[in-house]
Amino acid sequence: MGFIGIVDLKSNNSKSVLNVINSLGIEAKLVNTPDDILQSDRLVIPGVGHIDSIVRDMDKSGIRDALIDFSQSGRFLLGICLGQHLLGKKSEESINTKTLGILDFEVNKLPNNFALGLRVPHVGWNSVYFDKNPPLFQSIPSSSDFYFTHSYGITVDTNCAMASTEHSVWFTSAAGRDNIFSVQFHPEKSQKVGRQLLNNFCNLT
Amino acid sequence: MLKRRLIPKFLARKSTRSEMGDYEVCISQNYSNLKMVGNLRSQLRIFESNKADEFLVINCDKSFRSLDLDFIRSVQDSIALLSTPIMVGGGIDSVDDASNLIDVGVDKVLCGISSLNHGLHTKIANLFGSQALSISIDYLVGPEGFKIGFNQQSHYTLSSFKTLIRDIENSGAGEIVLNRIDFDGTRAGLDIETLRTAQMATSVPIVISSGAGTPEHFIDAFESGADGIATGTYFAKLDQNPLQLRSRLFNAGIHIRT
Repeated sequence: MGFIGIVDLKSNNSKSVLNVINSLGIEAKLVNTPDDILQSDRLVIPGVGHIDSIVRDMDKSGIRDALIDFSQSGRFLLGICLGQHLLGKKSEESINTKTLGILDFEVNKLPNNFALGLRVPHVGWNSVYFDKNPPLFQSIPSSSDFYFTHSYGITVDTNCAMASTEHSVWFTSAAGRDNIFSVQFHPEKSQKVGRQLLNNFCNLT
Repeated sequence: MLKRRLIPKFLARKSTRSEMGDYEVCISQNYSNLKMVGNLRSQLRIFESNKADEFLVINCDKSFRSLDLDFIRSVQDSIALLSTPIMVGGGIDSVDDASNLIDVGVDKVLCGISSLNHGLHTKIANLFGSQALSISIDYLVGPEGFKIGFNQQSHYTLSSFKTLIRDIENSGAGEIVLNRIDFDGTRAGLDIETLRTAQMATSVPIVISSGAGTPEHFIDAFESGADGIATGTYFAKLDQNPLQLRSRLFNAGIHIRT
């Protein structure tokens, strides 16, 4: 098996993801060139920040086409938080920003619900629910708590939903199809269940 | 449902004793009288195994202006093997300071209100997103209203305090940390009244800090709408760890991870 590529952009937390995957005893390295991306055995796109800055960083590194090629190669790809939004068709956070359009969803602002004391950004640990255990969630019980920190998310039904979470509204907290996976929460910051999820991703067959 | 957060707070300073590693962590009273309670790296590891929901690390070295590279390195080493969210504050004066911390795996930076007028908050929020920026209000309450800052340099009435809260939200902050200076280290209870004032004025999450001494104090603050409670002395001084506290809170009906 080759290495897990962690896409390293100026404003993402690639090193947190790298540390956790390395601590699982799995070979991973930061990648930010088309060659390195296309040589990766599987790929993680971490993300924090603003959709516009991550897209700008991506285009500055000239890796847009490589990411699309990778997604079509059949190898496994995981987008985390803003990395998830990057995979979608567009984001309300910056409507003119050109995301990758690899997965069929749009990203919208989460509504607050004052009456219920639910505030935005949605920050903290929240339950993730899924029906039949998707391979990404193997050995993880439905309703496990993962760490979230975001103001935008997939609030409208999408045919690639894999798991959902409630904060004011129900939103899609994991989405994917075929070889492409994406999560809204941060597995690299979700202690035991997060490590399990990353381990599952690295061992998907 | 979103869980309320227990956030162990660590005041970090450069260590003069080699067995404490680069940085040691302290507890304080009124943000002075620092007392060393352990080493940063091992404390974080212990609290991750106690299922802390998040960490707050504050650089409290007096040099304060501009972030010490040794401090950043120490944070980097301390969190390298951990997977708990972490907020870091103390001396963040520029986008570069914020960027250096986020680059080593910090999730949120905590800035004071003094940088509000310089556009720093907005720059950080635009670059890293609102969820990466928390703003700390360090204050005292007196008969004439609020005094804000460690030198109590600014005075606010109740109404200008509410305006301040809204200005902070509008500057791009994704969270407000309320820190009542004279309650720090007292274990006499949190400032619930200011918590209520603040949360009526904003829609961003609020973390309250300073004064927690009993499980009832935590229950009170969570029931009054706090999203998180940051505490240093409570865990360091009492024979209480987050796991024990968590069951107390859960039994009292607070939504919390168990």
